[in-house]
Amino acid sequence: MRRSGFSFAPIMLAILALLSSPATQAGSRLLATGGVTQVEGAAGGGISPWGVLAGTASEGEFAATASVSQARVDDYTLGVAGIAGNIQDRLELSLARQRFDLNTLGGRLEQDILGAKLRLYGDPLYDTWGTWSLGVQHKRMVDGELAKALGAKDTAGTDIYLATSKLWFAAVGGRNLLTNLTLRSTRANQGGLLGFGGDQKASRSLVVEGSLGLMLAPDWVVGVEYRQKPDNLGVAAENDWRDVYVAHFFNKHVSLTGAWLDLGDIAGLADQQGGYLSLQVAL
Amino acid sequence: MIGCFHTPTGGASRSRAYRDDASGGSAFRVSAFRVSAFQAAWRPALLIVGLVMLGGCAHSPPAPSAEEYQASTDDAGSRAVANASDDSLYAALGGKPVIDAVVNDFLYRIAGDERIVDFFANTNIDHFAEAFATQLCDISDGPCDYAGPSMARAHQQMGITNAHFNAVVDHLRAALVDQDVPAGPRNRLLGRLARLHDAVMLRQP
Repeated sequence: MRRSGFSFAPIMLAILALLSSPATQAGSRLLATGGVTQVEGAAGGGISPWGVLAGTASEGEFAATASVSQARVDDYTLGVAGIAGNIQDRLELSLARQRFDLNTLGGRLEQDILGAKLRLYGDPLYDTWGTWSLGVQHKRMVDGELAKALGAKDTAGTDIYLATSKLWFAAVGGRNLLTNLTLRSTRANQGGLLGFGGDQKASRSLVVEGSLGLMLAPDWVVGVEYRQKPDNLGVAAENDWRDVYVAHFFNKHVSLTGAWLDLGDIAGLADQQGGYLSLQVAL
Repeated sequence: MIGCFHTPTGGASRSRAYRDDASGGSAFRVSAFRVSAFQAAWRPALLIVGLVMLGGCAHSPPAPSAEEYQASTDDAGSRAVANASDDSLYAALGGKPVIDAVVNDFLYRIAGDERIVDFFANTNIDHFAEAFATQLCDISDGPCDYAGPSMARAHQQMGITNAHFNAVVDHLRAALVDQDVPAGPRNRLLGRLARLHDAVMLRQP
């Protein structure tokens, strides 16, 4: 952000205004039930999309979220800016731009992700089987040369996923527990930043993602996430992603998430670990 | 969703139902007209909190008489301490004093929420408060027996959406937090009430 000379002043003012007016235009769903923004722009945790839709909009309501996130691991920095809209808690539309800086190797990879998530059924709080949503993420690399050089087949691809979320009341020490399970069909290498398909496997893989979130208080969530990944490129082995996170919801408009990431090997550099910070504002 | 007191339409039962109003001078006295007509004429300035969502019962099916209702709650009150087992959710919540305080707190929040206050327009708020407290007592395994109408019947055809339901849950949770109910009992109670969602939403237009 600073590199591009972007001014934080208007954003900080907007955030201060939102922090001080908790009732402004908020949706009716309970605090934190829209999750935060995951790295591909969908409502979720940090690395995995959840079954819930962005913001707190419910029937007859609309929500919009904007987020900035940054992950700094040993040899890379990922910056994500995203916006999402929620139409009546039925359809979520999202757009995200990822910037992946190769601090050690040199260079930058960028990708745009257009997402849609349709809530098929249920509510995480009120239904025995939780809520179920079907999502797509269409990803398009800005410059695919490095990915091609590593053996990727394509520079664009579409992930399809089914996600379910359920809140268990008073599940652990009297605290509510949010569980999420996501099944994703994807050809993406490192989420798409290293292209789609590869010399080892060109076709789609079915991968599982899961996360737990314990609500220590209505406005504090701590948890873990896991995301299985394909391993398509022969020269750039890929590992599953993991993280532990804590999210604080100042009110229905502002949330801040911090995480510790373990992303495994990326593009030939081993054992990438580091921190993650994500700020979301919602209307 | 929760505790619901029906506003009777019959003249005789109405006079009984408002016995408390006459003697206690309640500011919340409301007549029992059909909800649609009432909502059209509703003025927020009246600040009459009626029932609903969590008990909003603007419709007028047969309801237990005020005497019966009063008797059951009086009886429950006298048995409250003796019969509540110490490890019940009711005891963990803090028993009758805390539940009454939560209901009061909750009703003030409803009164200030223009999204849902209209649903409560047609209701005697004192009776609603008692019925809601009785239902919270009953559902938390306390020494009470909620004898009001089913949640499906109490809320039928009121036009309640998930947004209304969520708003009421939000207010109840806030009331529980503000009345210092610990996280464990609070979440257990909310979990039990959450299961009423399907019944409340069963017969919405």
